[in-house]
Amino acid sequence: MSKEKELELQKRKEVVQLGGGQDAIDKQHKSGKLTARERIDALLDKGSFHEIDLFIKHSAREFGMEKKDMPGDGVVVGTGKIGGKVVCIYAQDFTVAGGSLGLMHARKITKVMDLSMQLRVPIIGINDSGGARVQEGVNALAGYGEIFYRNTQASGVIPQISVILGPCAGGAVYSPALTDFIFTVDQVSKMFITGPEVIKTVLGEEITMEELGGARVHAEVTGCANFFAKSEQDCFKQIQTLLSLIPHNNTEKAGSKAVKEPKKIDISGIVPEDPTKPYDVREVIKAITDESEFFEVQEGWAGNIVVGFGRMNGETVGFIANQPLVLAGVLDVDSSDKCARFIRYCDAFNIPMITLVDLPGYLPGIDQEHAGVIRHGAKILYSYSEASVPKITLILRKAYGGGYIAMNSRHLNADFVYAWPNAEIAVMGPEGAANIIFRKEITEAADQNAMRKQKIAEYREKFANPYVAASMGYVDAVVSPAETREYLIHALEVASKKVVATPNKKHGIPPF
Amino acid sequence: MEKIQLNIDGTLYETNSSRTFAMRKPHVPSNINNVTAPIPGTCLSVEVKVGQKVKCGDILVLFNAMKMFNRVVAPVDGTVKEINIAAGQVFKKRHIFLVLE
Repeated sequence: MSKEKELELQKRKEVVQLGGGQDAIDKQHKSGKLTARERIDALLDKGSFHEIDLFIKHSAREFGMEKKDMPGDGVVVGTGKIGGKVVCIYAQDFTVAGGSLGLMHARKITKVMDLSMQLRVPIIGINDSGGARVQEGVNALAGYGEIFYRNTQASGVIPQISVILGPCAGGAVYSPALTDFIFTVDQVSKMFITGPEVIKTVLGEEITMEELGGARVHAEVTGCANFFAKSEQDCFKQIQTLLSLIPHNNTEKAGSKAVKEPKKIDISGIVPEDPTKPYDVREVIKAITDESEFFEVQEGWAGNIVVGFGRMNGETVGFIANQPLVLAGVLDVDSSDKCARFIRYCDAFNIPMITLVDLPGYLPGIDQEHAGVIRHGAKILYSYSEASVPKITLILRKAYGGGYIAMNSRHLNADFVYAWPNAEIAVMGPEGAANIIFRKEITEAADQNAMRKQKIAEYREKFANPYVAASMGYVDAVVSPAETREYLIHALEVASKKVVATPNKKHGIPPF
Repeated sequence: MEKIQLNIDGTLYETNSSRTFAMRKPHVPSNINNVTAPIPGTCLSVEVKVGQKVKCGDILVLFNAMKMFNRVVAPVDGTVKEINIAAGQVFKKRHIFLVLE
């Protein structure tokens, strides 16, 4: 081959790889952002990235666009490895036409999405785009539509990860919304449907992009973001950790790790005896997982329930736990949504689940009722019932009323339900129950307060324990805290080949 | 987040608040006699006068919003007691256009 031809290839590559040019790259850096290629380099294993469709040319022909040169049509796509395992990746290039999406830009993305489906590997999308390329009209919309359809088809087949490293607005934000996990970075991510300018014009309300749809807003208020990082580098570390824990498609298991015992923690000293006192349930999780490691998901939102991944005996397990530290660990609209989606994720990717229960019930309030806590709460019941992965439940302390049922009770086809000796499984707390059951005795008593106190104590003595439920077989075993890890590991092992007969149907109708 | 006491079924739990819990909107009792704006917009015309009798379904106010022509109709039979809107006026969501009785 002539040296000329090789030189030509080099030159062509260099030109396109420079994206929008050095000035645009400098501008990107000044605004606190890395370029598309720098991001791919930082996230993937060193030197593992193989680019495809480098020489794609855009197909825009209106408004003099045919004279404009847009290297790579604003997006970098290809394959590579993270942690030694293959992934497909695309990263929008903000230096080229603001990373705007035109037809060929979208086709590059859908090509790598189709590839990830066929190769059965995770797809990671780095979003940093001004949105649809208006000059391409309906073709830009077609591009988005083709992406959304593929997001849906791939859902539950391969992990789909979205990383919001710039603006992701209007229709564009629906692709991340359809994916499994959204990663955001403080001050960099911006997600919203209608931006501040439109809101100002139509509603006369003023708000900055950051306050409207910045990373913090989505991590703490909307629940749209699953992860929040202080920097792009931290974000990439989080993605690498997640990918080391989850299966890379729905027929494989996640990679195992050598078993290491949890740190020496006095597990029986974590939960207070007084059922009205709070504690951090993550301490309990860390007392039982391998190496006391726990990778929490959606930490900043709906803190009254904790979800995340840990390893038990080397294998990945999905953990769900009520958090008494926040709103007494009640179930409400947001925690129901958070919990239900996580359950479905674990179920789709064959990740066994351990549920730790300690809740007094549902959050009362007009705002909760009017927000549809009925509809949202039902999602947990649906998701747990539908899940066919190994489901192990451990009742740490309180399990009252509807909350008892919802948190993966035996009745929702849990495989094993354990309870600690101090567990209270009852229709409600002793105070509330005594008031209802012994109303007559209390109102007729000479000293109502004394009678009430007596009846509360009686109820507590008789019902606030795990033995009534155990006597009916609703609890399979009462287990001491020190035995917990051993019991859970055994349960996971024996349930690992379980098969559940689901009635033949296209799919159910979950209360979306 | 700040420490709070949460009452669930008569038992008081020591716990912490959450951002969403602290930000929850107080309930505003609804009054069917208040005819309110469903979205923000600009009023085009007011079709009734104070003291006028209206029937359920009668057009009360016409306005422009979201690039569309919109109408507000009477939710109940009644008499127009108060009018708080005029042609050309820009209003916010939940603005009370009129009060019926």
